Amino acid sequence: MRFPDLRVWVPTAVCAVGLLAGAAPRVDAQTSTVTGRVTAKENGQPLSDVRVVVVSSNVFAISGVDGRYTLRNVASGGVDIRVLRVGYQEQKKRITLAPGQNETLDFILEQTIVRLQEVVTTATGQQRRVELGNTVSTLDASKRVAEAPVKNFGDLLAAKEPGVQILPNNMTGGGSRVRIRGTASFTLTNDPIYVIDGIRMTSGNSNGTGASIGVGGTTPNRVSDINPEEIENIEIVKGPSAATLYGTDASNGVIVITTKKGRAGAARWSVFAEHGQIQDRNTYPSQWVIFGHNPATPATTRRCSLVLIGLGNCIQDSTASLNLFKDQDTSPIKLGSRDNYGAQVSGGTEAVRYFISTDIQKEVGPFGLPAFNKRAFDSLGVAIQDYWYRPNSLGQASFRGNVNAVVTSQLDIAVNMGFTKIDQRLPQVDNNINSFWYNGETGPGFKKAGPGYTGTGSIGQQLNGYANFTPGEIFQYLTTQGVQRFIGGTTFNWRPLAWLQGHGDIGLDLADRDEFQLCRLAQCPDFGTQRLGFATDARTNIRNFTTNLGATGTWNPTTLVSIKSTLGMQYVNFKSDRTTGQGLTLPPGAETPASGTTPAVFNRTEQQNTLGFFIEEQAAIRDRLFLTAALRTDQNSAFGTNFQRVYYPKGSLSWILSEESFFPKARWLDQFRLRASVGSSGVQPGPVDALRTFQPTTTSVAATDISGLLSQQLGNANLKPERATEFEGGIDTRVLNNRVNIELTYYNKRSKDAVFDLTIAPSTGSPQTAVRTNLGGIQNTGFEGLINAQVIDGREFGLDLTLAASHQSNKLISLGTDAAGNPIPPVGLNTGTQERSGYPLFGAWARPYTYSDLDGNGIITPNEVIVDTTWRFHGYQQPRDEIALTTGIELLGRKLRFNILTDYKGGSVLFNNLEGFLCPQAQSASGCAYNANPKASLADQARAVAATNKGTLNTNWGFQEPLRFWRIREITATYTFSDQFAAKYLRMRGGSVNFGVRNIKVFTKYSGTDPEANYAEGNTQNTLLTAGPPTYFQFRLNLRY
Amino acid sequence: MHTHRYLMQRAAALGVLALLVPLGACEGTRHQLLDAATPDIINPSAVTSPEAADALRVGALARIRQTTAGGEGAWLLGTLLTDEWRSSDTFSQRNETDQRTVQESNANVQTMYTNLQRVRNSAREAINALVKYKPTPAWGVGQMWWAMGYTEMQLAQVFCNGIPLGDASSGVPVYTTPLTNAAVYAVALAHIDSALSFLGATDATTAALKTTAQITRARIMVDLGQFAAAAALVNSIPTSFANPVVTFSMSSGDNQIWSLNNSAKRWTVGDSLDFLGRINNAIPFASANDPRVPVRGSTLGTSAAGRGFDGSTNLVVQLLWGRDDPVNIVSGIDARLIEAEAALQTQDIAGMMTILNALRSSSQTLGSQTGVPVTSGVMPPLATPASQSDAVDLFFREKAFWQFGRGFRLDDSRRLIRQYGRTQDTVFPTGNAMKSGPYGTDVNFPVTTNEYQNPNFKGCLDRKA
Repeated sequence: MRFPDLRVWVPTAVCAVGLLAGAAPRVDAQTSTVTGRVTAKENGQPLSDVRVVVVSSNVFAISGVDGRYTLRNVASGGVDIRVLRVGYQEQKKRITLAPGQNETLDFILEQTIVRLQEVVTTATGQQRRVELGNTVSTLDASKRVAEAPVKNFGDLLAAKEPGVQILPNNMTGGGSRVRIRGTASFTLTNDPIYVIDGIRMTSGNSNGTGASIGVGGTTPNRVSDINPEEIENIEIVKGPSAATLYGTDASNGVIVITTKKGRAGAARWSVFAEHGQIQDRNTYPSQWVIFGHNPATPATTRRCSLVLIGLGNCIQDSTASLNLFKDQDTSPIKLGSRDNYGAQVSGGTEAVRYFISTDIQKEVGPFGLPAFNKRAFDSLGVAIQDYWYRPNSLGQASFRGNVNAVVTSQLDIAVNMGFTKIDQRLPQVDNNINSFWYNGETGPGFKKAGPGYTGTGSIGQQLNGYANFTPGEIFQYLTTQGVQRFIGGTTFNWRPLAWLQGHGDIGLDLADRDEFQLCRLAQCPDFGTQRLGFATDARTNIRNFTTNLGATGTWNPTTLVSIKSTLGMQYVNFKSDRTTGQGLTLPPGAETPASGTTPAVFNRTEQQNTLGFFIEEQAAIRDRLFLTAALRTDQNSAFGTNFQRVYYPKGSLSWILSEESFFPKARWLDQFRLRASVGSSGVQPGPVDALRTFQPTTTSVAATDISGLLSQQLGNANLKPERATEFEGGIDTRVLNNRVNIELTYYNKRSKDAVFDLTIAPSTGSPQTAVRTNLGGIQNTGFEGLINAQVIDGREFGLDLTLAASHQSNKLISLGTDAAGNPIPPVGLNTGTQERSGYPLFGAWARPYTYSDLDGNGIITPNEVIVDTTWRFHGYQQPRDEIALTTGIELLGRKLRFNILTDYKGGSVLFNNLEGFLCPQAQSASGCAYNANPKASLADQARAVAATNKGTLNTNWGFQEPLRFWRIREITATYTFSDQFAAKYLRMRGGSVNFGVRNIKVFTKYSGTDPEANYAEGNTQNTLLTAGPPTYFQFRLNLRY
Repeated sequence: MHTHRYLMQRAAALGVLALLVPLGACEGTRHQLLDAATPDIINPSAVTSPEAADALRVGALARIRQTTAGGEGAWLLGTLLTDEWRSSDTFSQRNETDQRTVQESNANVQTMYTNLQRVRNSAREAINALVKYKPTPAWGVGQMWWAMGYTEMQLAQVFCNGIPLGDASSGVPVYTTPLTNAAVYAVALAHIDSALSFLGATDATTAALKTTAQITRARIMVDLGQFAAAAALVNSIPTSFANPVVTFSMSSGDNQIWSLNNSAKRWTVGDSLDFLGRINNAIPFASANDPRVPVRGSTLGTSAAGRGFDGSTNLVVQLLWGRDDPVNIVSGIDARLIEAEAALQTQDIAGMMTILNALRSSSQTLGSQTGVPVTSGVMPPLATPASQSDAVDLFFREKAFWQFGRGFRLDDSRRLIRQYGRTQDTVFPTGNAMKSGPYGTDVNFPVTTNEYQNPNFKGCLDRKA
């Protein structure tokens, strides 16, 4: 474990202390204290977690479990005090305070029908949602985890928020991909950044040093380390207009995670136990074969294809098909399992509150050793190791302790610490010779010897229909990843004066990642030198250190206007170090890199530092019109030497029009708000992208290894961050006695100085194929809508609906010009993904074709397919349209709740890469159904022929399929025990039981394995030899003491 | 009172603002905060010494290894277009090359083209540094000029007419206009002459490099049709001469002929037939049982080497070179064959046969397995062909066996069209390709799509042989 450089730390701390010391603590004799209690109108019960705020000041308090609160250091005079809580109507009362006086002020809150989060976390602190000029999505994570089959962070977000697209992970331990408002960067990351309790969090597995082990494509994700059970809520800041103050790197959005905090009162325990099963219900294609013979040699059986039959080169005798993944004897698809147990306790006094959580989970992925492999090992007397049986698993243990302390009436401090330990193993999958999917899908279509297939592998093993290797050897390939993750930080709020508050966060996210791969001698697939044995051990430390300091002053120049000024700085220091040991050719029994006859060591270090300052001015006019102006400036270690500093401005407006006297009054309208914001943010280039560099190399001359130097990259001294400016506007309205909440948003984001990998023509001999250059621009526009409606709100029965929908458009405005003023040519010319001005980023391109069964024989031959010689745009490769409908039905006195989440994605094309890959193998290997199944439709035959038999005009147009699908994402049933039942029979405060199913059913015309099959981390989905997300069945018991 | 309080508040706020300003203005602190460690990279300032100049030379050799037997370059991918190798792979890039229908966007061809051009740039960088920091011994500079010339020869032998020869050695890309193959050969010739001008010393290293440069020059001259002059240049070079220039090791990289054929099974030794029947014009390297191309496995039936990567193609593996055995970039056998071709060109069939049978009459070392030489053994003499046409057939067949795997076959096939008047369908494989339909008509590789970033490049000038 390495800690930040003290040479950096000490000056930072000194400066920080200087800042605080400068604002010397003073006790203001002009202040007062307000105490009170908040209760619910419907039953008189105390309400905890109510945010009690002194309007136009920084003073606030949170009520404890007894509903009590204390506001200290309140300026004397007339003040407004506002209370806010999820599910209750906001209330504001005015009180006049004499200097030094203690006043009592109680509140009785009335429930709202639609439950919405009224307070959100911004870069400058917590704020009322209605004061923001931009939309911020908020997710009640604790509620979702308790009720829905959520197993990781990606599940929390999936299909919940408009404009937030989640491509779920397809196997235990895999990571999800998150895109907010589409794709805006061609070269740099399109991932949002993550902030947890105020500090930056490492998100991707490949942050910094990249993954050092491979399983074919699927990679873990460091966001998945975060235990959903510990999260209170998640806020999604969607674009630069809102994310300006998060600085360079925030233009893809910010996901703000707040962990659970303690509540004043006696210790309250909650425990849960969860058990579930995992099923892989993907539609894997069958392998087809047509047995036949050449016309001249009828005695010799051979493999035919429809094309060869159509051309008269082969005569069909019989057909067969095989689906190894459905065959009980050969299938590696097994039932997986998931268990999760945890306990949390929360309590404390008003001065010190605590939250402690611990959690253990174990998941076994739905893959296992096929029966025929087990028999083979048994017959040879080979002891089967655990990881051969179940090659995919995840074990995770988490602990979190959060403490909030009110040190003085002016100072409160929070300490948040979480530790997670993960041990997971992954099988060889996806597009990979060692993959069981690859070997299963490219099998011959039959199990025993036949044309082009002996049925016996290179080490004498029975292949049983697998191409080269069986799961028996594949699962011997051990790949593990161990992670120890600590995320901890301290947050303080200091209010030396009623109108002045200092705020700071200092925190560290430290991930210690250990990745290990092993093939013991004479184990693993017989590919290359693998069976000679090798071991790779890669140990990586990833560190994110964050310091935020800020001061906010408020004043009221007139009685109608309140102004809040914030000045702040942020320092983020990211560093990752990796050392990899590798040993090739292992002796018997050895399993460490040092045991290899050819050991090797590799290192990689990356560091990137950002220092930013910002200022924000907010004005509240009559508490209904809110104006914000802000500016952030950043310096970053990755900027080119000719580019030192970047400025990001923002401005926003929020106007609660319905409170204006001129606004027409209607009984059905409860609130109407207009909001608009414009702002900029950026994405920073890689740490050394700007530099010209050389790299070491080793080569062998006269049988001796000698070291040399190679030019590595040309660099770009003018490199600067990609800059995105976004306008966002919309309305929020609540109608029908707050039964319906509607939010509509339009956004228009333009990236300027977009960083492209500008291709360098190879003829120059440049050591890099492209140089990172700020070129042209990219535009993203779209609409988002969210409707929450409580349709029926009866005593016994309830029905609520949430509809989230979004539509996005994307366009590469221009690729810019080179130094000589020539337009930059399109990128990816004559490939399936091209970047051309006027078309969407990562658009799908191909040559269209037409076909006709000219001879009417039911077989499409190459001469019956005409391929256009011009490449044409075929569609987006990111879904443009997304709809998510959540239906909640409550029965039995609303104790039993059913929740059904269904979502739609469409408006794009998805490259069916699996069939696009299998079909061209047809004449020699199994191929695909479209050229080896005599019942294949003419259209399917044609797309196979177009991809296979047209020589230099081969085209995948036919495999770029329209993407449209509905998926029943979640169905859950939750029964909440009545308080009386819980107290009488269970001796507890409350509890619930829950049964949920995730990824239940997909409805689509897409012909591949699954429309969400993917293994790629990048910007386009890759469906080659992979699968969609499995189905989870989960039973959960929640108890509260 | 209210105004006074308001002014006090403003003053206090400005005070806080003033306290934050020093943090931003602490120049030293700011530099420390932004200073990022980059131990993995080497800055240009470190490449200014004799040691660094020599390290750049070694780097250029590493690059040339990639384009010969140490990578999927002109030797391997280049001859996949011919009958020497066949694809036993699932990758479309290799399959379409085997099928002679290469797309401009072919990623493997892109890599081959890029790597060849990078040898030129690395050699240029090394020359600049050697001249400045380590001018002696002079063979270092000479070796780098040879590397440039040899690579340019390979570019012209493999790619279409229309190859730009740019530069980035100064750190700034310089784009040039595309050249015909003949013009590229002329550039290569000039660079070999530059090499020879630095190889006047008589020490063993310089002498070996000089012979290497002479054989390379002769090959270029053959490509330009200067057969007699080429033969004269190599006349004194002993048949036993061999120079692999670079070698292999498990730590620095394996022989890729072994890796891609014997180990990864993506390539299989070419043959004149497959399960679809006869491959027209193809030499049966795999089934000829010729001692110059020792193999294991068979194209038909059950192969002793098993199946290729695609799981269906019979694998035939070469036994000339083991995992880390070197492959000669130039050899004395090449010199003899240049002389034999010069005789063929003058219709001196007897003279040609004398040279060819002399090669067969003694055992030649062609490769090695874990250091143990693999030799041709003594082979019976060949009968003298009856006609000039038969002599051409015989010569190129013999040449193909003698030089198997060393990057000659595509150039020779193109020369059969260009210099001997054959047509592509009588030289290259034709008929029904094993993977997917009929063979195409490619006789060379297109310069790939990335080159379109060069504003002077508008595609191949032509695809002629």
